[in-house]
Amino acid sequence: MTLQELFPGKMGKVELTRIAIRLRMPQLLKSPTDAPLDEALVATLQTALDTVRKG
Amino acid sequence: MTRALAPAAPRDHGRFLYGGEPLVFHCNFYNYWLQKTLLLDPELQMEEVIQAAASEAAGQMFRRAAAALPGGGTTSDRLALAVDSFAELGFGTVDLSGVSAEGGTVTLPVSHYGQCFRQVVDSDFATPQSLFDAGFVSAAAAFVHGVPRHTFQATIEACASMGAPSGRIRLDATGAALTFDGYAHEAHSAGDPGAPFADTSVDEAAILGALGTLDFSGNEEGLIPRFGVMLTRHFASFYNRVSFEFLRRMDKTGLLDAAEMLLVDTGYRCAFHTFGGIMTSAEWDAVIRPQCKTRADWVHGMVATVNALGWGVWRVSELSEDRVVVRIYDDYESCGQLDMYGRSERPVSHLAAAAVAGTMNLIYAADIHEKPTLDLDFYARAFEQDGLFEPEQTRSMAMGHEYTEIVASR
Repeated sequence: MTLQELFPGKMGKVELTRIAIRLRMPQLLKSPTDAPLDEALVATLQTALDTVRKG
Repeated sequence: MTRALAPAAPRDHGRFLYGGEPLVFHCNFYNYWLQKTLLLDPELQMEEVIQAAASEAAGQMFRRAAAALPGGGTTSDRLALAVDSFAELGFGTVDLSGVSAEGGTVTLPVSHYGQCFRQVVDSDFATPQSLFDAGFVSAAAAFVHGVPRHTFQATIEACASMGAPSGRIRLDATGAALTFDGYAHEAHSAGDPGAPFADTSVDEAAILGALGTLDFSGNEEGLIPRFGVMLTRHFASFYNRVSFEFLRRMDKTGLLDAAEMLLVDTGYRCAFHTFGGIMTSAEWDAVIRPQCKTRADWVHGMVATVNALGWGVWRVSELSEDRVVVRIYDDYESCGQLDMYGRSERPVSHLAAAAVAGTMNLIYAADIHEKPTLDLDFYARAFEQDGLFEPEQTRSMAMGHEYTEIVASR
């Protein structure tokens, strides 16, 4: 799983920015978007994404 | 319906003061997305900032309004002013009868931040969203009972955003956790905006005149349903305080650019829903659409409308299908920055930047003249398109320029 798969398109870029702020991980916005992510990070991002997408 | 209201008056450069506080129009979509952004990082403790900013704006308004009442007004005079102001400005309905100088419980049968937020997401929130209400009622209760504004700490016990039938806020006279002290509101641009863009069939003065006949008072429920959204006539200082405090806190995290980008995204939501709603409304069809022969005219029609929102004076200085330059005199974001924190090293007009680009995207990329349904699916489709306008803040009153300038191009 890569960042661009988790956060596709322009809307995905905005969501990734929200996640970076949520998790205080500025490095997310500088990482290559096509590099494989480790499973723990994917799980963390997925959980944060679910939280941020809720009202 | 007669309400007890604070003195209100238009001021230069498109500003409108209510109890001395500049008011700006914003809708429930903007308010939702802004708050969602502010609350992203729990460590920033923005809940306290939102409450304190609401208390600051409402408290300053009450203080100035009291000066206009004989002898500062009776308790019942002040109670009526507080309750009626909340409804008039579109925040909902509030019952302050259960509160004394020692505290008590406030109920909110209707709340913009409660019921109208649920309309945006169509589900229950996990946490209460009526943080603005909590700040407003803490200042209101202090005003009514003649105690210092920072007397009460508010606790939200029930909120319509979470599915409660009405809101309930407890006030304890233990002192507010965080306070802001208010500030004077000045017009900062000495520049002359000049006349609206000449090369258009759109008559801005006629549009402003027509908009001036519309009633933007809160209805019996204290809400302002217009243009397919729920409007508020909100305190500019509230938006400025919460936005700038958010950025100040984000500056320490290495994510300031990202935070600014999200404030621009919040502005896109505003443009999409509010401007989109305006440009697909019966009022637009009746007054503005007949004046529009080209898409450029639609831009001028929307700019004329923006000049009734309290956002400063917008002037289009250049316009083509691929680029627009808008100069803004006394945009409320720059004025707030200068009033609250002084001159800035960075532009601060993120809402204005998004509004300019969002207007161009609606007109030139999303074909708003075909009256699409303005739902989230359409927003996502429109946002993913190639060739969208991107804004750049090329001048900023907050940085010392005579006007703020936004260039949106594709």
